[in-house]
Amino acid sequence: MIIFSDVKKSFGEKHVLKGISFQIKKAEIVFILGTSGTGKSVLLKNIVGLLRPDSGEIWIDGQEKSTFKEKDFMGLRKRCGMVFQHPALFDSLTVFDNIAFGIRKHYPKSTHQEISERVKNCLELVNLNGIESKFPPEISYGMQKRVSLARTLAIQPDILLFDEPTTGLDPISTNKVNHLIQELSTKLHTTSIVVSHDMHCALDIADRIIVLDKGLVIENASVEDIKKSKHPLVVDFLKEALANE
Amino acid sequence: MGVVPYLGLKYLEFLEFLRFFLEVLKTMFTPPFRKKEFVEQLYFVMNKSLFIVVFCVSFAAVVTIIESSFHMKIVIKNDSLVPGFAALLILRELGAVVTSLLLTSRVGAGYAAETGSMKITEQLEALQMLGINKINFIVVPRFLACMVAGLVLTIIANAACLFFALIVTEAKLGYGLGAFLSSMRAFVSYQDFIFSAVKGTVFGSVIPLISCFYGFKCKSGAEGVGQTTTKTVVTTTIVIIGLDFFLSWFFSYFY
Amino acid sequence: MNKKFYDIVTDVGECLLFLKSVSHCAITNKVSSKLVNEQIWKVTTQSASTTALAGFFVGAVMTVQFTMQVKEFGALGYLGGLATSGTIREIGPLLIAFMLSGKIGAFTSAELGTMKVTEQIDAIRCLGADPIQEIVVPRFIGIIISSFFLLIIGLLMSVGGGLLMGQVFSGITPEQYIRHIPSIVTSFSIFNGLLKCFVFAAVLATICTYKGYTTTGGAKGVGQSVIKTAVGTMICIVLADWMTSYFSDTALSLYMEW
Repeated sequence: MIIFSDVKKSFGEKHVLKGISFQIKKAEIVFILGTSGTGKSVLLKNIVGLLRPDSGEIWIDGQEKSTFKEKDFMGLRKRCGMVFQHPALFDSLTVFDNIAFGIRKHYPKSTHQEISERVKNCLELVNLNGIESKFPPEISYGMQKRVSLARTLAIQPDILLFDEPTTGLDPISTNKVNHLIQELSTKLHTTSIVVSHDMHCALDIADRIIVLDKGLVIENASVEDIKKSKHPLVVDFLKEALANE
Repeated sequence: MGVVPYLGLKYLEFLEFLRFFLEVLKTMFTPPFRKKEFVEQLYFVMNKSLFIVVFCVSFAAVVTIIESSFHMKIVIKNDSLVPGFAALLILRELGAVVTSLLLTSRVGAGYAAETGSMKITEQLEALQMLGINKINFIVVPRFLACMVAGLVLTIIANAACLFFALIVTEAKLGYGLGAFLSSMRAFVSYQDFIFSAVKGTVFGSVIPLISCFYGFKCKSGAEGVGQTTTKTVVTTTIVIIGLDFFLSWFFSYFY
Repeated sequence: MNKKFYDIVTDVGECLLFLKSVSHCAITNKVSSKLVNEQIWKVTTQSASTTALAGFFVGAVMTVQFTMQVKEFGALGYLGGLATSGTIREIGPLLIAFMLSGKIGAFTSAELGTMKVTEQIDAIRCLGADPIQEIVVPRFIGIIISSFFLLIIGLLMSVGGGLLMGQVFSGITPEQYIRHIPSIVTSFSIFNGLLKCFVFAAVLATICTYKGYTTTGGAKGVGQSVIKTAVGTMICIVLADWMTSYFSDTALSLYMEW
């Protein structure tokens, strides 16, 4: 259960989040939509404490965490995986070490055998194999993005945060990633929060859609209700998505 | 990479640079002459570096006095010649070299990052499509501006450095203006002023050449711009130190 | 003007706070020696050739300039000693610092800046590691330690350059050149040189990691960080040079009195 109540965040003169409130239930898939620059990524980074809100409260499973120190976030980040907009793979490490990085940090007692098994499984989940010894610059952008997803899955989080997971992927990989999100939710009861501007995907797999505009929530409803929305921005988004079908 | 292929690559790069330099010289004398850009660049360079140059050089003056008095005391057990010796060091080496090294990091790095990002955002191709010669448009005004700025800034830096050296000698060693000047007269000759200005001009003109040369060859991405800037600063520093040696040697025959 | 001043003060303050957290982390946490060794190797090998080249030319310039002065006093024999002493005390450390600032300072801030703008640093935090411990501290320590190696390389090369120019330009045999080095270079001078080298390297390491670590705004931001690093290190090194000179001068005179 994740609760945002009246969260505000600004950078200098720029007010990015102007009081955001919503709730997300366990094992739910929530899409956060909005045009570029409306603070979607900022919102996501607030959840794992990469950024701190200026005011307001963020509750995760009964813990209020806007007052946490950097140290206190460690436990939370073990349960909370984030997939970045850029692949954000470490250039100096191989694909294997990239994926193993989080496992070694969070499960320091695991043996080499366990780690390599986990790495292999995670790569299979994202439909990749045989690239463990390659360095990130040697593989394509789409593959890097999927490795990045595998790295996040490796620590077995129960909350997954995606920052535009399918931007820059080909349609087939996009489908695979979407199905993976759905599968994780049904099988492992993973909560997924996906930041995107792809209404098409959202209509496909989301349980609920939250639409942001200019730092405020303008719509927060299930897929069925979103389709009936009268808000001009939502209507524009819908038009775009339906035209592609 | 082995030593030989590495040197081979460097040699090829040097040839490429020479061609680039000739191209700059050629387009410098062909119209259109971009007076407005020249003035803008001159203002940019001077405005950006004047304060820093004077600031750094004045601290360097203090160090020079302290260091030369330390050595003078060891060798000739007397520090009455310190002002003259320090003045000589300032005019012959310090003024021009410190100024141009500062210009390298302040202006050279800026030019490299600027032209580099023009390259990776395909602005250079856009210029070409408009039928504008990129060397005439980008390099020549910067080249001329840095040349003039190198000259002027060196002269200013020399003056500021000497002035602070005077203050420090008076405060630390107790020699007043008169003693400073007479000691200076024993060491410094009029050639020193001219050669210092020549050095400043040469170093100043090297900076935009190297930074634009590397900027035009920038590779794409965030890493590309960073690498280009690094390479520019290092190469320019080495070239300036090397040129300084050759010029000093060359000038030593004219005293 | 007011705002600019305010910005500079803020920048300096934040840089010092950054230094505080880095040194706190370096002292309290275990730093992987493998990472540090990697950095030392990388920094030293990357800058060895440029430092050697610059050292050679500087030694040569010093010899040429000193020759003209020393000749007038008939003290040509002292040439080697003077040039070497000057290099150890002042020019050597300064030269290493300038070379490192161009090569390693710019490189490190570009590297960290790239990691920052491509969210690699956020990823490290998300995977439960401390980016300061993982990437900043090894670089910080690596730069400081390898600066001493580079100082030695630069010094040897500058003596080499001095020897050569002494022979070619001022007609002094290498034996004459070297003979007076021990009589002018004192242990105090060597200590002075080492102190300067350490201070400059620490200043450089702080600024380049700070600027890289706080980069924002894409490829352009990385370029900006590199420029700011280059300029900031130059200014701070000149300032630090003055401070250490002043400090060691005072220390020397106190020692003499005592």
